[in-house]
Amino acid sequence: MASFEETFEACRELSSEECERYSRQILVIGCEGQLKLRESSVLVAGVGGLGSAVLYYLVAAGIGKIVFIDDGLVELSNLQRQVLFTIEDIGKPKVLVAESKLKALNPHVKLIPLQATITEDLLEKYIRDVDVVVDALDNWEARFIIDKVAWRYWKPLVHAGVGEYYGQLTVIKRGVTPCLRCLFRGIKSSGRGGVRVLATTPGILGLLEVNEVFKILLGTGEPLYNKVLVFNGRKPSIDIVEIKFSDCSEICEY
Amino acid sequence: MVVRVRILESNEYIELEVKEISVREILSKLGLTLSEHIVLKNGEVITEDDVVEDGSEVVIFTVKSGG
Repeated sequence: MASFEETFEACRELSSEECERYSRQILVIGCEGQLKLRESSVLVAGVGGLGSAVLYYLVAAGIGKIVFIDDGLVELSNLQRQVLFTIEDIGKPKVLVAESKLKALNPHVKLIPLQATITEDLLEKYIRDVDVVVDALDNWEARFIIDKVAWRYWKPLVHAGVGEYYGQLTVIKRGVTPCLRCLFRGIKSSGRGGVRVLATTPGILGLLEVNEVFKILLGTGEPLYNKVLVFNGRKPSIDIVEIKFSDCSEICEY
Repeated sequence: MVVRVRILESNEYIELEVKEISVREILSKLGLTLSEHIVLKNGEVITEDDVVEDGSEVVIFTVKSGG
């Protein structure tokens, strides 16, 4: 049987450790795909239920650089679904705990944790240098801020939201889709916290977000542009709702 | 004179016998909140004051805010 080195002889850019680590994935996306992931950068806004799943899999899969933002501390009520955290982490900043756990998972990934509130000024510094932005937030006010800055810099934004057994997922890209605010223009902003959610719902939607990130970075498949995936864990069912594209570049407040 | 409504969350199809009806009135009739639902008419997002006419197909889905 051929060794990993022989099997992936073409992967000269990757170390033997990387070839073995990503071997099952390289069989799917090739060495070229793995290198694309290594050369990519992603910003994840929110390190809660969605963010825990998103970060874990982005790091495991070998994304080159990940910026992640959250201003919260780990609480006991987080542990039901926020799988990066354990009992000894309670009271500590989420981003710092996440950094430690993720570094242990994959030291090849450059991690940039930011313990901060989402503001336009903060995002201005980071969004311009990443390839994809992931919305793992828990409130519409902050979502519309990342939407605005991602739109300004023409960065794809992968959105998900969850509650109870339900969730939705879509991808926003300027020139291809309306912005998030225009797509969800009937939605009223509401405060954060107190969300009712089953443990599995953010995990499922978080992994679907990562799947969209991979398609965008690898330039393969069909990202959810002008489509909203609606997940219902009670059935279970997944519906894809097609949205007619309307270019809001000229009319929206961005 | 019928407006057909599909509610994704419950996978229900409802026929409203009206000549025209606003989004606000549809949601009110169905007991759904404006702030958590997206309404599409023939694939286009419409909002509370928009009116849906006889023969239109409407899809309503819930949008969640948690993370």
